Amino acid sequence: MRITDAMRTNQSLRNLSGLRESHAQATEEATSGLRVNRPSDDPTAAALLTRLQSRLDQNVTTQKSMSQGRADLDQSESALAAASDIMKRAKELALTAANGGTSPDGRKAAALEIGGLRQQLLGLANLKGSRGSLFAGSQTGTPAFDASGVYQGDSYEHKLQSGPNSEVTVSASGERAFTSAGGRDVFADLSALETAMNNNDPAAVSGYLDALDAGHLQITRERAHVGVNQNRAEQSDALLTHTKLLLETQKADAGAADPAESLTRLVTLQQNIEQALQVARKVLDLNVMQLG
Amino acid sequence: MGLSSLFNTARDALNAQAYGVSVTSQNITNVNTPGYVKRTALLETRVLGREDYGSVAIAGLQRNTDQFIEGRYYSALGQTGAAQARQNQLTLVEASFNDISGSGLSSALGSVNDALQKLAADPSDSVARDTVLSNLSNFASRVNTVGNDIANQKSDMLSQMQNVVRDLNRQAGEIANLNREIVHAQAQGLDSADLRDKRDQVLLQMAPNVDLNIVEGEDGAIFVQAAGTTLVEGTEARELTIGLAPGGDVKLLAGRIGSSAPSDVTKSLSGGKLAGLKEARDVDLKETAAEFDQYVYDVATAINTQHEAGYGLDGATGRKLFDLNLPGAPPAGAARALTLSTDVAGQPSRLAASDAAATVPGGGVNATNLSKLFDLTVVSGGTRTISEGYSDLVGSVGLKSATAKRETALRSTLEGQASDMKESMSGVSLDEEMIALTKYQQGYQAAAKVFNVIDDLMQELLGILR
Repeated sequence: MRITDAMRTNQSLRNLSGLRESHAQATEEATSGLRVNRPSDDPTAAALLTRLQSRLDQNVTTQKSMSQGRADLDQSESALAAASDIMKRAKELALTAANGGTSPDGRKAAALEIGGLRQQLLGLANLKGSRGSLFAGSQTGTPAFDASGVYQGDSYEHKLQSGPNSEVTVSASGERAFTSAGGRDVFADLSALETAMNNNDPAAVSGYLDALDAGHLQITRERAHVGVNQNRAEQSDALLTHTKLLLETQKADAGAADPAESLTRLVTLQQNIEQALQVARKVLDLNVMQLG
Repeated sequence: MGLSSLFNTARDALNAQAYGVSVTSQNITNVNTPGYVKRTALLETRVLGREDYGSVAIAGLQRNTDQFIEGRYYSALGQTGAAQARQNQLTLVEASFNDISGSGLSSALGSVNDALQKLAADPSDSVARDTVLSNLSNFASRVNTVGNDIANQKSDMLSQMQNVVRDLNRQAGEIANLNREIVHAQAQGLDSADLRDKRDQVLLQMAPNVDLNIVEGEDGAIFVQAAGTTLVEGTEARELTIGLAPGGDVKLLAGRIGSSAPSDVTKSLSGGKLAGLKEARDVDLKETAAEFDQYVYDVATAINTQHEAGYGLDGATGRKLFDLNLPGAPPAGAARALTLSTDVAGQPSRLAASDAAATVPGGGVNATNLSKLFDLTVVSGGTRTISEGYSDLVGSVGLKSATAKRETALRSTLEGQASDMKESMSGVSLDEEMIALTKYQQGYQAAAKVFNVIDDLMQELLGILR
């Protein structure tokens, strides 16, 4: 084949521009740390990366909203624990007041304390969490109980997504814990007890002992309910953290460049370009004019 | 034969060698001129009466070309032009769907989901409601941007094609003129090499833009065919025009000599920038736009349907989150038309987080259901989730672009080979020219010596006579 000057320069140019292109690609890979920088670099991996990224985003989102739900659960749990203590104290006072040896003044004092306990309990039942009234179901804008202890909420249970296909209830039911829907109307029982004590009527007081037990039990039961949900929330949080790690690993597998490999490639290409430049210079120098 | 006639021989020799030097120097001068074809000086013996005595004559020039090799080169240029034009366009589209850095549509959708889950966590929170609205509107405007980018790119490509056709028409006119001059020069027995170079240069400019087919006639004029139709016939050129078919596709029309009605030659267009742009516009971008419209339509419909089932803080139901004022049958145009619905725009309290009027304001079931849509197969005919559907789009756009890149690389290699073949046939080699220069120089020197010798002989003769 007859080789002309243009062929020699074109060939050197083609080789060099091919090398420059690979070099630019290797530089991008080495600096970004990514093997796939745009969909055409590897369409399948790019699609997978997009899917993994959106699952990761979703994972983070779920974890964030769950943490808000968990805070509400924690708050409900401690409120119910305190409510349970109040019921225990009310039972002690009732036992004392039911005793025939207790003086009328003693019963009056107990009645006063029962009134205080009822107010405390009302305060606990009307506690506000991250989204408003903790125990009012969906009626988060109003206190769960009015001053006379009548429930203002509903039986709505607030559920949050805890993963792709699971939900956790992050609310406690004020209805089950404190109203007759759970067995006893705790506030009415305490009011009646207070009245019986004020009336200095030990028989009536002792008539409420079982009701107090039942009330205590239903609060404890709701607390157990919340505890179960706390566990589930905690488990799903752990699962989400684990999944996040897995997804990140998968993402790295699909799209990340091996640093050692990209660096090696970069250095090799750099040498290739230097060599090609030297060869090009020699090739271009080589002509009959060198003969003088 | 007389001494004096030897002067003529020497003169012929000097002329011939000088001609060789001039052709060689023209070759050297044009070593880097694109389209220049190496000339060879043709010398022949001049017979003057008897065979034992003669001189040299200039028989003209030879342009070293081969029609077959040139044809292959032009067609290679056309294929590279097509692949390159398509790749450039697809690289642009690809950028709109590049979500690997986490800044594209997918992350906008992720933010919508994020806001919905926040709303689900606290349905009465006005900040969560505002966030949902602003993220929805951000998603809609990103979708609009991508939709508009594709539409703008399509109209850019149309004007690019119009520019290309304008150039082609001008160049076809030039070729027709050059044909006339070449035919004229040949008829007069004049050298047409320079004119042919000029014509080749014009062809070289046309080749990357359209699929050229060249046939040279006896008289030196060429037929130029492009897109299966005759563009230049002798001294007449036909006009190409770009039009739009009813469906919005580009069509290429060729004028006919002696007829006012141009014929549609779109189907025969097979190479060059025109073909590449046509394929990118009416196949690749059209598909991508349709897939994207369908995706946006599916997502918006799924979200709307779920939202309509819920109740806002005012207890009202049946409201949409997105408006889609489509120009025609769905889903065409969905990407450009998507907006935040007037039902909820500026009215965060109307976001339907509850699934029943009774559970307002704290009920978040519908907000949870909206956010759950992101895990359900609601797009691509109910076979893919929202994020899977989007990743399919990314994959499909990436695959198109990757294929175009590979095609361009392959075509460039083939073009390089065709170019080497053409160069090998027609290019200037400085080695050859330097050697030829020396050869003609020595020939000239020797002819001058002959002249000296004859002069000496003449002097001798004159001396004897004196």
